[in-house]
Amino acid sequence: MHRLPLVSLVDVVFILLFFFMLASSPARDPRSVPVTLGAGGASGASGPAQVLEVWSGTELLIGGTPLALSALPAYLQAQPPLQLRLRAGPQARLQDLLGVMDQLHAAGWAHVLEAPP
Amino acid sequence: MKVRVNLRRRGAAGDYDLLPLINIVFLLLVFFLLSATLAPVDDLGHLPASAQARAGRDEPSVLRVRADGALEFAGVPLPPAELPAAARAWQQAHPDLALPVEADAGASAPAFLRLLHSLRDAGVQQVRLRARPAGAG
Repeated sequence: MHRLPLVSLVDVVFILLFFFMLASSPARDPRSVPVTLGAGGASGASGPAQVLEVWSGTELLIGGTPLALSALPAYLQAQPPLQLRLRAGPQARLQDLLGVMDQLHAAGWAHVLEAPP
Repeated sequence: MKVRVNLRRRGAAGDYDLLPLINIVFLLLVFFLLSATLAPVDDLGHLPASAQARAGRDEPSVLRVRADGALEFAGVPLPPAELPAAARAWQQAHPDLALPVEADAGASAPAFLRLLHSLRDAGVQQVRLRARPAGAG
């Protein structure tokens, strides 16, 4: 009757363990935000009224009026949802834009992304 | 249960001395560890956070926007002037898919909006912007 060489078995298993630990890349968390670009043609052809400009991480302009980002939820709650034309000022970062898009989405406001001239 | 391990059994028919084999395998392991380069983790490392981020398919991002605005299309650096042609070709090859886009959270927002518009003008209907869930990290 053969005795199993357990130490060798454990060695090989450890080798396999190290190999896969080092060769595998950490698991990615595939999350994404769908952004519909719509059909071609001039944006705002349907004539949404108000322009919301993301100026920085804390400052917005709504219809040309400054508004703090922290005051945006109250502003959105205070009136029925409109369609907005969302723009970004030269200082705005992508994270600032996405934060405002989140708030608009949560409040049920539709928006059209406008490219700066 | 008593397990008896005998590492140095020689002579009996059908028994192998496994220690030299393990030594060689370890040498091979160390050799490949030192000589090979692991595949680089190709994340930008600074994805924007969004409450709208939903779990999706894990697929490589086709278009990447770095914090300084540099573009990469299918893993190759791309001059911005060539983006419309590349995006149009990609959408024609994948007519039902949204373009997977990965952009640095610190990328310029107006430049990103201009990029989205040039994608739209090139016929891209929808993009999927990679993001991490809000509040994480």
